[in-house]
Amino acid sequence: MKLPVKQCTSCQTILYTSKYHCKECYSDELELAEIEGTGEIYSYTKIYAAPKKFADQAPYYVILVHLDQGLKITGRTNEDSVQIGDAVELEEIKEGACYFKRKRG
Amino acid sequence: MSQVSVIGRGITTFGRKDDSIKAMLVKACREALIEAGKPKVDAVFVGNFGSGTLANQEILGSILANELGLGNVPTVKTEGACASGGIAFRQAYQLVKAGEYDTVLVAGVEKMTGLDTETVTNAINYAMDNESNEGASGLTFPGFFGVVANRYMHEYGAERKHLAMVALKNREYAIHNPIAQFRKETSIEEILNARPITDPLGLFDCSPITDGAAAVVIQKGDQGIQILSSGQASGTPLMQEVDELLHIKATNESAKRAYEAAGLGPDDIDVVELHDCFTMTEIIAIEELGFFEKGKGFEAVEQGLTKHGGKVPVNTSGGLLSKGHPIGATGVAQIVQIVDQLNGRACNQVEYARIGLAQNLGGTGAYSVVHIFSKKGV
Repeated sequence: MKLPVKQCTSCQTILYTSKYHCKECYSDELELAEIEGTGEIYSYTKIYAAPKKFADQAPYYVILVHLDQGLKITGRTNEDSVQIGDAVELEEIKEGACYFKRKRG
Repeated sequence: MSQVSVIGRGITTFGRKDDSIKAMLVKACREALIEAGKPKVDAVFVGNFGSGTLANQEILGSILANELGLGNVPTVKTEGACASGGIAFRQAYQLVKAGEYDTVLVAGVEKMTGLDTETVTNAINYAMDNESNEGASGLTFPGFFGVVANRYMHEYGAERKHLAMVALKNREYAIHNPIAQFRKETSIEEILNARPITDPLGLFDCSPITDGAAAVVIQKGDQGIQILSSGQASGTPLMQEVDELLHIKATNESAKRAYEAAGLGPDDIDVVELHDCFTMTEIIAIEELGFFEKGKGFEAVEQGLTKHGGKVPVNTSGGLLSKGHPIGATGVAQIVQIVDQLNGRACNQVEYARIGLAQNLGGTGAYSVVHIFSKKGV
């Protein structure tokens, strides 16, 4: 699936959805857009000691994905194993977290 | 601009303590003020991260001035996550250097035990930018350094045993530090087999939850350990926005500023206290501070270059990993160890130590402060 992002209406820079301001041109006129949810795992960790809110999910993988279209994003995967360099694609967004799965084929 | 010196230091024992935050603050500050000869204090700076959340107490500066009988001097509390103490010291130093005050008391403190671990973990997570998808993904503070560690090992061929060597070194130093939290001998095997926290980091790779306080008195003039320079920098608090994950730019930049201001470089430093909140962080820091090339820090650790007899002894106090990490106290406690080293009366004394460096990191690279000190007359 595609990843929701914000895009600056004056300089077209792609930003995370949590942003209020374009660092490139100082505009605050940002509109919702989408980019491809495909990329590669740059690194990861498997978290055993989790905060209260996530304790029932531990252990779980948190991954840092370098998206093909340039943005980097911290997300999750429910794959059994994870390797740096794995090609992944966005599967779903649940409670604000991006879940990726290994890209098949 | 004036010269500025550290003329007194005090520190509590670190660990799980019954003492209140106030009791610890007063104890460390009393010791520092008595050693300094009970000077007239012009201002107080307190570094603290989360006393409101963790100890149900704010207004630490005013409380301290009142308890110590310092009169109605101005007092300030600074917050910069784990760099709160280093930032407090820097503010005090800059104001003395600028001529605003002659003598300033700087303290750092944190009360972290007495609460359940989950509450403490949540409080520590306040040191991340939580209004993003990153917080929602369940990334933790240690988790950030787990991600860094996996990439570092992938790029440079380091192994978990190299991380363990950092933990072992710092534990071996802590054994000789009477205030340290962990003074029990350990081994590479025990460290490698400890319970996992955030792969590849295990229990011994992570600094503990600690109570403690530290204090120093600084004064205009050259009558003590001289503060040669101060450098501070910020970095992004979000992992996904870090340009190069294996660099902590705030550490590098704060060091660059401090080296430049002192007219010194990494080769001039005889002893270092740096921010080893995790074993991985120490390896990154020895590279960012310029002691070793990028990607070579783990080999330096393996070759024993970061301890006595090597290139530069690092964390002779036991570091955050084994001395303990009472968040707001850490930056000041590092300075206490460097001051003791330069006064020739430290645990794990480094022979002929003349110049020392302290580096204090906040968040996952959000803040860094570096101070460089010299022995009197150098």
